[in-house]
Amino acid sequence: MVGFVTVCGLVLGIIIGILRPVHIPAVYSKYVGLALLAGMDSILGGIKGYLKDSFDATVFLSGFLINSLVAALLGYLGDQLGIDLYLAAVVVFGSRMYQNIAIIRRVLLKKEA
Amino acid sequence: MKRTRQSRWQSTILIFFVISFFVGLLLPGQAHVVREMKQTYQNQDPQDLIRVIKDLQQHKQDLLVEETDMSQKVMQYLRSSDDTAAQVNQLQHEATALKQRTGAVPLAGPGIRITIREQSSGSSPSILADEDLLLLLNDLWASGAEVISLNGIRLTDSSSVYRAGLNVRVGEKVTSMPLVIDAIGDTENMSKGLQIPGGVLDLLNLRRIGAIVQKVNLLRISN
Repeated sequence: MVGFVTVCGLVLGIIIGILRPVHIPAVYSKYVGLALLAGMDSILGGIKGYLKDSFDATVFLSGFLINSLVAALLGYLGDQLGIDLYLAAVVVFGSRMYQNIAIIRRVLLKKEA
Repeated sequence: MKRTRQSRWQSTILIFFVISFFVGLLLPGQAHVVREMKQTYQNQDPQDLIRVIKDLQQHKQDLLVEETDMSQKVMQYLRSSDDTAAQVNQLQHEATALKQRTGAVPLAGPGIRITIREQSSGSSPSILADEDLLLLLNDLWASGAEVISLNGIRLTDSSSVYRAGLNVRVGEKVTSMPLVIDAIGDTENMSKGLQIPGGVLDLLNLRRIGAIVQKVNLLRISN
């Protein structure tokens, strides 16, 4: 159910975003991209937690907000220092998304069985 | 107890929906910005930019030469006899020629069509290089082509043509292989000019790039 609601929310958001695009200044697009990556990681983490009966709304919400903010800030800090710090966020969130997807898949397969 | 569990479940669903909706809402905007940024000069390949600068510098040089020529002609007209009709005819002729060169008017007439195909598959693919393309176009101009189009994109005096990855960039437009080059002008001259032994067609054949030249009775090239 949660997965279905998430997909519905995502699709609805994308449709509205296409019809009435949200203006993102080009200067901040890199940071918004990182924040979105962190957001997607949080969503997958939330679904994983829900499926494993360890979901906590406060942890989920705070994780979503803080991770997104930290990812964007890391990107900004990296730009200021001349270091590709955003790569750290990309690697961490990217690999975690893979892990979460793998866990969700396993849990769903177990439930099917 | 049951009620509390239900309300918690509802809030969980709501949180998931709101957050995924928010992420989904931002995704198209972000994709749009990234797409736009790719088209700006800041994010282009430096080698492409160097070519653009070189083309622009060359164009500037050509324009300066043209300006000098025109100034000399104006001086000649001022000094020459006051045969107004002849001068008007001459100016109209030049205006027509300039319109053709700048691509301001569509043209139709006999010409040749060259179709170029690369062999991108296999162990040793043959890729059309910038130099090949420029040589071919220059040979066409030199053989009497009045107007040339590249996959329907008309070339003018200010057009820059170069490879951009697997695509071909013509000015600000991008087209892809296979290339169909239409050239209006003296069909015989252009055909002979291209088929000179050791010329551009031989060079392309040598590099296993297929080039088919066809004479066409009526070609239309729009502006």
